[in-house]
Amino acid sequence: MGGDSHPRALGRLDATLVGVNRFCVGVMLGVMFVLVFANVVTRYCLGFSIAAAEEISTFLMIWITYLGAGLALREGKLASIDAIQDRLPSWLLKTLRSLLGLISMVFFGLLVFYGIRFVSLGWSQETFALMIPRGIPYLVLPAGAMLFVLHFVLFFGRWTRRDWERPQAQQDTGFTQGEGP
Amino acid sequence: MSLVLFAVFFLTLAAGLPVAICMGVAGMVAVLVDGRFPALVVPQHLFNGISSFPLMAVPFFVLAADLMTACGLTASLMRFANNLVGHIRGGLGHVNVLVSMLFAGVSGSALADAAGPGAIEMSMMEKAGYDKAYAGALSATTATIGPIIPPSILMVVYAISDARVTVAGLFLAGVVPGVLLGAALSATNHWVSAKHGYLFRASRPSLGELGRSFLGAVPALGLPFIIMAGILAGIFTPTEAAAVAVAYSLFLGLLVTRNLRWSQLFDVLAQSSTTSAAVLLIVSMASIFSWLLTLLQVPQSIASGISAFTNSPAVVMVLVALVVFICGMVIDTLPALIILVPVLGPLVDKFHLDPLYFAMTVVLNLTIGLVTPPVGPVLFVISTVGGIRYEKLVRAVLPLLMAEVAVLVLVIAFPPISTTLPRLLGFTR
Repeated sequence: MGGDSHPRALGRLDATLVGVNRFCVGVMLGVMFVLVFANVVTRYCLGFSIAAAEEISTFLMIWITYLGAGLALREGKLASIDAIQDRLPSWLLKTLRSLLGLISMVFFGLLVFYGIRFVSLGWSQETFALMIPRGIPYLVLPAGAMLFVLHFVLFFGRWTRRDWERPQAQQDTGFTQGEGP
Repeated sequence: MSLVLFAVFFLTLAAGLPVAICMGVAGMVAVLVDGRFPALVVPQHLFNGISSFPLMAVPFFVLAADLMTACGLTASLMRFANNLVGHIRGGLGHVNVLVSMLFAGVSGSALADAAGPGAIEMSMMEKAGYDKAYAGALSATTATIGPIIPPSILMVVYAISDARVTVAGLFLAGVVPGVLLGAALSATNHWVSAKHGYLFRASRPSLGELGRSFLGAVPALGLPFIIMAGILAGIFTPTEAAAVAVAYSLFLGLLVTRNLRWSQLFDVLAQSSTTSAAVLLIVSMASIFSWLLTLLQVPQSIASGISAFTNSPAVVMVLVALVVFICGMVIDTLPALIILVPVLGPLVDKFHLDPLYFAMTVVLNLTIGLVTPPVGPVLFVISTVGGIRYEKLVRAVLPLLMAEVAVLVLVIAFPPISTTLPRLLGFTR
């Protein structure tokens, strides 16, 4: 069930999903920065700030969190305590990690279910600044949880082996270039 | 309900489920088993827990740090540190300490700092001829300086979970303990290097070379200065300061050093957003967990339990130190902080402690706990990344750990170490 034995089509789907996902959260962070920075500038130069910008950027941060969680999982960025796992024989390690993976998927599955109810509950209330239904920003919980489960399914084999994704080569610090003693 | 909450949390945590998911699963199971509340409270807390403008400082600090690295500013900082102290005894060890202080890891996770910059410093020292285990031990211990010296994501999150302190106050409170920590590690490094004969002298750079590398590092050194000055002068909120730091790094990278290409910018954004997602997911999941803790009156029972035991603030601080230390030995700083602050916070009021002094003790304790054997999560990371046998690493870390504990004892024994600077500048409540 490992990533290397995926049929090719599935591998392409996997790569496309990661690419689109990275693009979305990256753009969101960029927009978030522009909004907050623009507010700083308008406040000090023009004497007013835009309440809607503050609200949108806060929502964007929550969207980044839940839409980026699956990517963080793939890159091994979700911190865990591996002291016990490090001492297990490999077959037991795989079994344990499969079990933990199933637990995570059930949890996020429940989050999709309750998240949808949360959205429908929020549909009748309005946000402070934008005056849109609260259910719209709330959408990220079921959507993000569903995306997380999808990432988990596609990544399951590598998850059991702790074979994390490296999106790009480690940044070269430039330090080693003729500076060391 | 509390039994279910703690049993699920500690079992999954020990089994190696990511900490964020542990808190969410434990919270969800506890709510479902208890049945008094609709399960809808779970998504509600997950969302509202991170629906916070001040918290936005976190992704911006992460982005600023990633941009600095992409612009090559981190490298120029390292070059300057190396020119400054690289030629003295145990030079690269001092560089390791100095870089950790200057570029105080803004990631908010000592684990991430150990795996990233820590691993780079370690391999540099190893290449230069230092004992691998010692290089790893030093990188592990210097990774704990980051969260103490401002700007620090840990402090931002602390101030959000505890209304008794402000971000500016916490930033200032960390300066002196952070410098003390750096000095203590440097002194220990000097002693160890003398004992093992780590000489490897690089040629002393000429004054001109030192000056040039200083000029190269000025833009990077200016970043924390801008952040601190802006916050302290009341010009920016911490979130705005972090956004300004991003703008400053962008300006430098695109227009001054021109090391940052537009095509790279997107990769940096994507990288920073996944790192931020990992940090914020912990904050989000912790909100359901800490809501349940409050509901179960865990903080109150701990506070009253301690006050039944003693009424001396000094004894309380020692008890707190022990509890926090043990937590730090197993959990990463950020989740431990989010769980502990609401639990221990009531003690501040009950025993009339200075909240900034209390906060510094907690943060310092947690970070030092991370490199304390037998568990010490940072030690595990370093031993994995560097391929060092855990037992060897533990032996090498002991003298450095003693130095850190000495600083901790000083900070606990003398509150003015943490409270003087914020008080002088008027950032106490």
